[in-house]
Amino acid sequence: MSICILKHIEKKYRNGEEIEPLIDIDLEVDRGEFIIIKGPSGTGKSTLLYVIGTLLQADSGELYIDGQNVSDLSDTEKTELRASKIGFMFQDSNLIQALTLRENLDFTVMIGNKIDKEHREGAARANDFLDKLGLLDRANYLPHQLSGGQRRRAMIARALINSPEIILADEPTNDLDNKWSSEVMSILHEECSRGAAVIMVTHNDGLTGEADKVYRLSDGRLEKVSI
Amino acid sequence: MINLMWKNIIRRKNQSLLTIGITAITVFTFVLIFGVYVTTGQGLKASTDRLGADAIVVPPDANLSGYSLLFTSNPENKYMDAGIMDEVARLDGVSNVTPQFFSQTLSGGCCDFGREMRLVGFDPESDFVVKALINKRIYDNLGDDEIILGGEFTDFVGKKTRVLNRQFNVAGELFPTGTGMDNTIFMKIDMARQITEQSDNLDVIPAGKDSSSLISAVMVKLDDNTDPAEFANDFIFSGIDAECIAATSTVAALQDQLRNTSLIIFGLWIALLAIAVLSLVGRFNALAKDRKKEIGLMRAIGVQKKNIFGLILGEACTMALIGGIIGSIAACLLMNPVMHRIQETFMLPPSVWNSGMTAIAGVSGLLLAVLICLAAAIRPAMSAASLEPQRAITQGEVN
Repeated sequence: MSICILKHIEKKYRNGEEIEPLIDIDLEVDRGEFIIIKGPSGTGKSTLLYVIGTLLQADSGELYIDGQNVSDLSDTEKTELRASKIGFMFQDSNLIQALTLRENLDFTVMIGNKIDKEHREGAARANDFLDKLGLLDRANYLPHQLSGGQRRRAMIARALINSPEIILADEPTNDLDNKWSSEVMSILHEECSRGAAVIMVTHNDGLTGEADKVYRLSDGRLEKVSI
Repeated sequence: MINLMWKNIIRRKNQSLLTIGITAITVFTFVLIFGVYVTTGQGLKASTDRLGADAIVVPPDANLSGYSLLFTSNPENKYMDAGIMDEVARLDGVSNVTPQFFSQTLSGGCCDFGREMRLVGFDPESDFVVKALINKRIYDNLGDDEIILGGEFTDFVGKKTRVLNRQFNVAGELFPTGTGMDNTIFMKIDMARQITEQSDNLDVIPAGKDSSSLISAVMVKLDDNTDPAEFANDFIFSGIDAECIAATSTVAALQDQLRNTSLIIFGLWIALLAIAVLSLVGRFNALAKDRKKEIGLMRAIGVQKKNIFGLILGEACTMALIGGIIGSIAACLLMNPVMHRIQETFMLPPSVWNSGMTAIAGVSGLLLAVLICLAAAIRPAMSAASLEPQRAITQGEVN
């Protein structure tokens, strides 16, 4: 059963010259599926994640999340959708600077609870994630007091804490050493096991073996790669 | 969100302190200017309302200005013959006259009150100035050993006190007037002459003069249709060897002066307000700018636009309230010393800064602080709330 369907998605930018990072993109992602999207830098991999995450409006085409056509939704509804179903791991480490690591997680749980109170167990998961990601002793640190790798792991914990149905991971292993890269991949697989779909963007060919399906985005077109 | 708002304020200390400081300074100056203007104006009005006399006739060499005669406690010790009173009473437009005898200003050691004050003798029979201001009294006819105290002294009625080594009963107390009368001991005119003459400390009676025929001033009440300023002008041609000061026109001139000075100060304050608002707009823009990525992140994890708007506005208003409270309290604490200094420098009448005015000034200060911050924060808050999440996250900087 598909949790995310893209049909003929197109996106253009005008930045001095016209750039067309997404041309006629079709993609279906099932629950529990792990998908990797590869491609050279600047080809629009992150743009595709932003479109799937409803943070960026496609110029044309249709996007369905859990059977719902996103184009029909208002900004408020899209925001609720993000809070309830989508977990983001951005390319840059991004946390709320005035909150400690634990407060960042609590804040995310609080936002998720507003939408879907009964199905959230984020607060209970916080300690598990902090422990798994080696951050338990850094829980009360502010983001600027953490190293780049710790911030990256904190961002991963924040993205997963509300048990999202779709996990959008943009180069999640950047800044991480082999040990933590493996741990993160293992956690992402655990999320797939509970039914979440993972769409991961990477240019690290070594990770392609982790995925159920691998796609290449090149010249705005998405092609399936055999593994 | 309230927790996040508070954490943003306390964990971004430097930025918050700057915003609070700008607001505090603006509110401080507003409350101070407002307080000085209102209380000084009220002091002047009280002086006009309670003055009693429309004009005051003093010796020609007294060299007294309307200011010093009305509002200070330092009159000249120049005297004239009491017969002048009858000459003044015969002038057109005069409805009543009463004499007063000013002693030298008494030092703090002269009496039990331990402060500088002036001693004034008046005639209870003809008096219309003191009588109109009586607040408390325990006498029917003021006795020789009884005195009345000005409005700055309270709770002395019924007690005994020493003035120039002589014991008196405090038989009455006046309402505050905002004039030098508040700092004055009133007694019967003959007694004032007598103790002034007998005192070793005072040497104010001219040699060879019989003090019993001397007066310092004639307080003049005019008919309703006589203008005090015109009366004072015409007095020059009356042939009476004295000088006439129109009390009400002195106050009116002061009020004019105060109004004009206030307008200039108000103009300067408006300029300060504009600078404060502009710098706060800059502050809040920077606040939204610095956190553009963070705002994008919040939108991505499900925070609604209205909550982002509320967050920025809430932070601004909280800092404004803190700055407003600090500015208001500081201004209220400094009000009395500042007012005292201004009144001394410009010889304005004393006035009272009371708790009611403090409350009005404080609340006005807080309202002003919130209005300033709302005016400065609404646009940055709207632009922060309407940021497209993807652009906010990827670009990081606001144009």
